Amino acid sequence: MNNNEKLKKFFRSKNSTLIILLAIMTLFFWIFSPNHSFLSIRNLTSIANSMTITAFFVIAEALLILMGELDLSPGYIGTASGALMASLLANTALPWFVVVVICLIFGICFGLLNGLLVNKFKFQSFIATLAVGSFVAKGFSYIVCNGKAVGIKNPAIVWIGTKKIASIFPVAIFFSIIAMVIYGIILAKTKFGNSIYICGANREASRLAGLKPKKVSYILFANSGMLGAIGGMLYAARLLSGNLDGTNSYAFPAITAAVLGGVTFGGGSGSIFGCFLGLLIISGFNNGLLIMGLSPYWINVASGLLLLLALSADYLANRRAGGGKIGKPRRLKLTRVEE
Amino acid sequence: MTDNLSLQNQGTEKLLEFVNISKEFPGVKALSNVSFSVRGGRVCALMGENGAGKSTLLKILSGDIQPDEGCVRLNGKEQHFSSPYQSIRAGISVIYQERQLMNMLSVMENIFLDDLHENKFGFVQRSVLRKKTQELIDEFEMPFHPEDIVGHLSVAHQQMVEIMKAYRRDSDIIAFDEPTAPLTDKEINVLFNLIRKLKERGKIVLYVSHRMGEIFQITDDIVVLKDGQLVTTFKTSETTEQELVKAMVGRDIGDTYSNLVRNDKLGDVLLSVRNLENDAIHGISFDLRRGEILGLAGLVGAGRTEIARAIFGADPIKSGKIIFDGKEVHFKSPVDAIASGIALCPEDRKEQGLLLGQSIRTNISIPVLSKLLKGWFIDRRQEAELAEQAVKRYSIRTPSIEKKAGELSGGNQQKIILGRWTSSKMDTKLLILDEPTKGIDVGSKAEVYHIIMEYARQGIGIIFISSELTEVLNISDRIIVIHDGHITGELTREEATEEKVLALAMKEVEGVKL
Amino acid sequence: MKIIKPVLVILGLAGILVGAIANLAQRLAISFIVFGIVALLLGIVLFLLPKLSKETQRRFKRVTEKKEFILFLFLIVVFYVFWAINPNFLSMNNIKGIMNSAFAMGLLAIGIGCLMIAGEIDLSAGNTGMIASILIAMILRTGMPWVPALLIVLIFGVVTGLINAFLVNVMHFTSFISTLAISTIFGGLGLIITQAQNIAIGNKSFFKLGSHMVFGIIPLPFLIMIVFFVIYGIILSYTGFGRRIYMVGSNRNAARLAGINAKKLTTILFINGGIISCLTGIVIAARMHQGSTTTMGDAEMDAITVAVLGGIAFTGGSGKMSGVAIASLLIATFQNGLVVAGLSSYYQIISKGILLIAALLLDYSRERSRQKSLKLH
Repeated sequence: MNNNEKLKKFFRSKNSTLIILLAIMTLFFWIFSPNHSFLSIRNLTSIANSMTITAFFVIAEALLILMGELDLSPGYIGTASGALMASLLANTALPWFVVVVICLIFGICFGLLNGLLVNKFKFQSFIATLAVGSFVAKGFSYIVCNGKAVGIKNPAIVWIGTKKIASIFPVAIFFSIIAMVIYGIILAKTKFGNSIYICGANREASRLAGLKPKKVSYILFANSGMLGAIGGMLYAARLLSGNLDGTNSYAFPAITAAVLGGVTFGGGSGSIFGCFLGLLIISGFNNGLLIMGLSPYWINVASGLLLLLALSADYLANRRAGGGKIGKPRRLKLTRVEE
Repeated sequence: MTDNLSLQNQGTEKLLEFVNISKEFPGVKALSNVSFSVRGGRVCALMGENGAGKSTLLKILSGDIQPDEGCVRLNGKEQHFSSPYQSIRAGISVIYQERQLMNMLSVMENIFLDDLHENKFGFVQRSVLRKKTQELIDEFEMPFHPEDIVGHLSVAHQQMVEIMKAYRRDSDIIAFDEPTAPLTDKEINVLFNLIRKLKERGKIVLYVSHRMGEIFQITDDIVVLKDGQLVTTFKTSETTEQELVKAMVGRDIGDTYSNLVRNDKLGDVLLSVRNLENDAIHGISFDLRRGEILGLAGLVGAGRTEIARAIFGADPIKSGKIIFDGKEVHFKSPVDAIASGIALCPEDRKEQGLLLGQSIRTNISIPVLSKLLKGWFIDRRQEAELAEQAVKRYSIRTPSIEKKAGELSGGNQQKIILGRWTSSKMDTKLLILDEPTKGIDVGSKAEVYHIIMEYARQGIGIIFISSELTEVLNISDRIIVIHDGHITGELTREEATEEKVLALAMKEVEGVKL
Repeated sequence: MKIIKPVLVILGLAGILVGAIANLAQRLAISFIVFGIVALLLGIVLFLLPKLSKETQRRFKRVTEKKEFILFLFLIVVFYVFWAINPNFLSMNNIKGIMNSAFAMGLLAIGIGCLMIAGEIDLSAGNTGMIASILIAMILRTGMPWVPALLIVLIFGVVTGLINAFLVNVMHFTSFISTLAISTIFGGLGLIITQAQNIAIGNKSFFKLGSHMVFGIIPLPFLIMIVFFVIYGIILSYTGFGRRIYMVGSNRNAARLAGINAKKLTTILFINGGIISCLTGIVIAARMHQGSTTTMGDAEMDAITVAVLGGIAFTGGSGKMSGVAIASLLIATFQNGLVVAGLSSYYQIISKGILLIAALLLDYSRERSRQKSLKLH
């Protein structure tokens, strides 16, 4: 495809729609926010701040959605990891990087448990991850914290959580940008990334064509646990404490961002860049509402409405192209026992 | 069951008419001005290549879709069905190829799906249902019970339940769409008896099938469609297979098989299977030489696909040996088999072979992704070249390699899968083809046969599985017959006849209790 | 295997003897006797079974293979185990507590369960109930008598059901994501309305709805739940409408071809779900004397656990109310038992998750063994 065709393809793509949406929204908030503060440096960093942690969850969700799975656990795993990290730092003399590695492994283990339930025992991913996340992982957080938040004083962690470059950009932003770039490249250009799309589109066919969907699935679940742990640790670092609620509710906006960004369940399309745009839109939207004076309680409402809107837009676009269900393929099997 | 009904139906002969039916889908004119009629008491076959418009016609008859022009007339009266339910009430039952059953419900609930005999409080009268279902089961000579869960029945029995479902409605018009695919001979007999009974009762029967033998056995008239238009109608008794094929394809393709250039240079032994055993297959042993085409014949469900999958590493093996290309191999998954040079074109091309929503390019490159790397990344240009080569080599009819596989016809889809295994980056030594021409029109079939012969000439060993006896007999160099997971016999090309193969396919194996 | 029968009988008799004669602590003695009786019965049954007619054998097998029967056994075992740990477990007060906690998850499970059988799901049930509890609290504060107030809130349930049905049937969203979105929206709305405060209720006669004791021992909510289970169980198993729910969940396309209007059916079920959720929220508000964002807690997760444990598969088309009823008792008992046993509430959460996973694992292994036995045919 020569450059002209590439340009045309881009303009017809979902990503360009998102960029237009983003532009409209930015304009709207800029005009209507008090003192046009929407585009102020302070506000932009505030948006960037809220994006950094969610970004990790978005990547995790996007990859699994492409595989046709849904992971509701990374938020809970994050909280548990953050709590574990705080607890280990406070109660042991382990150096901080060891603690971080332990927490990462912790997250990976949860992810592998999810993978086991889904692959070996043919659980439906939504129920397996819900059980592991909102029950097991959440319970872990409670136990580790013993009911109350644990403060973090370790200088290295504190630095990661709160240091700002030029007192504007939190260090953590760079972590998430690097993560998105790396995962984006992996997804689009490597064999593994491509096999995610293929295995997600048709698991059995991909197996008979020489791929290993089981292995891919395990890796992605483990990865989700790891990214959840990273997100949770960053959150705890920022708040300077591991607490009970942590990133529990982060999975939902992450899924919204991914779906908004064009990732379809086992549909074989969608990109990390699209998810990034989706994330921008959601974060910008939430922030815009806050700036305009809406109470923070509205964020949940806004998230939900936004998801519905995103799905509606997807549906309308699909209808023109000839149909398909939104959100998930209707044939969502609980037990793929026949495999 | 005394046939008082036949007395009732005398004097009121039923008439089904398709009048100038046209239907267009975005980009494709499925039906143009199709008109014909069928009288009661006659079985009318609907024939034509894939894409000829048969299923569209049936869907219009059932009310699933509406025609753009024209209409269906029952006994002279115009009908306009806005939903399938309306056509059922008007006395039409269409039995589709895909079973539409409720797997977790009982046989009787499935049969009486639309009429659960509710009393005035809305309660289902189970005893009534049970009795009526048992009557049907007896009439059909089936071994299951009314309260059995449909999901637990064999595929053949499930299909019979599907047929009983339509029969129960006592519809005036029953249409069968490829009904015999999952059935064993016993059930096929029951089905044909049933169709004869329907004829006696003055019902109108439409019968869609690719199986020539059945058409000549059970039908009275034949309607041939091609590219959405009615080509011609025949009386079954007055036509021949060749004439039919010519009408369907529009050209005389001669004897499809006599054109083929066979491979006569067989190489050394490529594959040796000894006592292969797993849940579905027992004691399977055979050899295959390079350049040889080995046909696996047998009834549906005999275990041929299971043998293929076991060799390919798709299903686990309990015991037995496989020696491939001189080495003993233990494949834990298809990945290993592919690496050794074995390829499988699965039986269900759409569900297990292709990614329908992905492009041709993606579909072709799946097994060789690791060979298309430039550094860490996939070289898209190489990938595209690979796909272009396949498209050209197999004359895959498509405007570009980016077209989604699901949008191509059956024949082209099969060619994509063939292309996948024989691309320039693949080194396939053994090609296993499971029902490669299922649901493909006659023209594409011939192309596939030529391709198979070419592979054989190149020294690729081929295992050819097909339920079409003519095909197996004409393509294979040697035929192994499978029944109930066992090999019941082996025939060379010269000595094989339809009768011999069929006899072996039904031969009981010692020690196997049924 | 043959040796099991006489061994069981002998063990059974021995157990009964030891329990009756030896000088053991009361709990231990009763345990021995109970186990003894069970072993004895089992041995006798296994002994007699081959001698009975094939028909009876078949019926026995069918009953014991039923999921509901196994659940019932589990229930008994759980009761026994927790009683053995702490005899207070069977105190009247505690049983009341079990019945009360069973109510929330049980009633919601009915609403969600029907939808699941039809192949949909309703994740907004919990928060719908939460809003209902807030609404009823607010309305009662205006002085309106509680009966009309209740009806008004139920209308909210109808509206919620219609919204869900609209999103699923007209906008073609999958019920999972759209009800999740609605749930999030309601969660936020709840916070906005209450500003994170509790809304107290003062209507004394309303309290009775949540705490009246029928015959002095059964909490009214529990009774309501039982009645609902019976009614819905009958509808699902014996009426045409009920069977059609299974059909829609089993094979939606085939159901359509048979003339079943799946959209109408699911709309009715969503409205039904909305009403049930609101009813649950109202009763709980009556019992807790307040409406707030925390009244429902994690009720819908529990409800889904109950439904799945009770035999309703996500794929749709299977499950019975009897199983769900037993499952709700089972989980309520289990939860309560953990508290009585002294386990901190944190471990409760984990154990609920483990319970759900265990239930699904059990389901999986049964499916596999059934598939295996099918292959042999």
